[in-house]
Amino acid sequence: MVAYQYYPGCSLHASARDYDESVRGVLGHLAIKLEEVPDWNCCGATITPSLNQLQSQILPARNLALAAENRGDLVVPCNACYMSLKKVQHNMVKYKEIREGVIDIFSQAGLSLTGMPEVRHLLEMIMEDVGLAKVKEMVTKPLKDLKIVSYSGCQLVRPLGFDDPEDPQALDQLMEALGAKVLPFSQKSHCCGSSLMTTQPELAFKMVDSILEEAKKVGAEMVVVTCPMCQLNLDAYQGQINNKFNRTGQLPIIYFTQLMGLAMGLSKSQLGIQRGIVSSNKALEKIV
Amino acid sequence: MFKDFTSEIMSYPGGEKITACMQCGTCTGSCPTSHAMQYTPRRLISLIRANQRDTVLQSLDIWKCASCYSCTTRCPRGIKFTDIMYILKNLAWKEQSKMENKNIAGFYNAFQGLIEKRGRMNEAELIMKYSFQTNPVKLLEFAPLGMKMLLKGRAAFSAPSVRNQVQLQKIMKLAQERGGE
Repeated sequence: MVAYQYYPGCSLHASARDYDESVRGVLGHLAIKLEEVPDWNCCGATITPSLNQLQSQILPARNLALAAENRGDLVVPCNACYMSLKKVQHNMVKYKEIREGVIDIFSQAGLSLTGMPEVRHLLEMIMEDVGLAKVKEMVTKPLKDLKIVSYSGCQLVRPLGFDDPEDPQALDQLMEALGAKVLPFSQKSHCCGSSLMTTQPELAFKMVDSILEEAKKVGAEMVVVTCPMCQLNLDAYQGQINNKFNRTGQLPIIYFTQLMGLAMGLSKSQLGIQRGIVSSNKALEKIV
Repeated sequence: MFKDFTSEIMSYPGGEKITACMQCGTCTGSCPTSHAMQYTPRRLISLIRANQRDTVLQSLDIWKCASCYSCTTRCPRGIKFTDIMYILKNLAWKEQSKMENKNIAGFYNAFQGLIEKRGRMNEAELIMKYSFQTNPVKLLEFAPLGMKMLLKGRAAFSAPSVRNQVQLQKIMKLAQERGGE
C-alpha cells in the first residue's frame, strides 16, 4: 500500500467535511494510505501573511517540521494551504534571513526541521502517481453526459504551483477520464475572492457571479472544484449572489474527489454529496 | 533607516525587483479587484517610487488584494506584486492608526487571535468573533447561512486546537517579538 502524509487543513474538519469524506473514500478505494500529520496547525492562509511575514513562515514551517518526522510526501487538498506550504519552502531556500529566523525560533521551542517533505496538491498526486490509466480502469459508472466546467481556482496553479497558470489542463483531463463532458471555460483559474467574501462582499460577489454566469452560459450542470474556499464561496453564497444580481438557476459546486468517487461506484453519502448547499441531486440523476 | 520608501520595500523578501517596473499595467489589467481601486497595482508602484508612503499605507486599496497571484504570474519584469501587497499590508498593520476600516481590522484581528491562541481555525467561531468585534447585528445577517451550514453538518461549534498549544503560542510570540521580519 502506498502511503502519504495528509495535511487536511482547518476547512476539511468543518465547512469542507464533504471534501475530507470524499478524499478518504476515494483514496481508500484506490488502496492509498493517508496518515494525518500529527498535531498540524493552521497554515495562516492569506491572513497571517498580510499581518506578519515571519509568523506566516512559522505556521506552515511547523507543519513541515512535524511531517518531516515521518516518511512520505505531504498531500494537501486545499489550494490555499498548498500555496502557504510551498511558499515557505521556497522562501527558506531563497532567503537566508527567513531560514535562520525560522530555525532559531524553532530551536527555542523544541522543534527542528530535519528535512523537507515534498509538498503536493491532492490533484497533482492523483495525476502523477495514480495516473489517468489507473483512474479509467477504476471507473465502473462513467459520468456519461454530465456536463461540467472545471474550476481550478488560483493558488493551485500560480507561481509555485503545478499545471498551466492561465489555462490549467489537469482537472479537465481527470474529468474526461471519468467520462464527463468538459465544456470550454475561460475562468478556470480566476479568483473566487477568498476572504473578501467576509470583509468586502461587494467585491467577492462580483467575482463569483462572473464565474457562475459563464458556467451557466456554456451549459454546465456542475462546477468542479479543488479547493474548500472556492467551494464555500461558490456554493454557500450562491443564493445571496443570485438575489443581488437577479440571476436565475442554481449550479451545484462539487469537489473533484466526489465525482471520482461516484464514477468508481462509491455511494453519495460516503462522499458527503448531500452536504452541498445547492443540491446536486438533479444534475446527478442520470448517473446514479 | 531607509533612504526612501522604495528602498524600504526592496529590503523585504519579495520586494527586490520593484525598480524594474516599466508601468505597462499588466498587473492592473490582470487584477480581479482593480476595478474597485482608487490606486491600482500599477499606480501603487509609481506612488511607492515617488516616496508617497502615507498615501500608499493609508489606502484601503491594499486590503482589496485577494492574493490570486495573477499579477505575479504575468508581470513581464518578474515583479512579485502579490508579495509587495503583503509587505504593504504588514507595514500598514504595524502602524495601526492607519487602519480605519473596522470590518477589515475586525476580521484580521479575529482570525489572527484564534490562530495565535489555539493554532486551528473554526469558521463558525471566526464569524462570531468577527461580528462581536465589529457590529453584533452582523450575526443576524450570517444566521440564515449559518443554520444551513449547521443542518448540512458543515459547521462545528467545538473549539479546535493543536495539542501542543504551549509550543505554538511560543513560536508565534517569538516571531511577533522579532517584529515580523
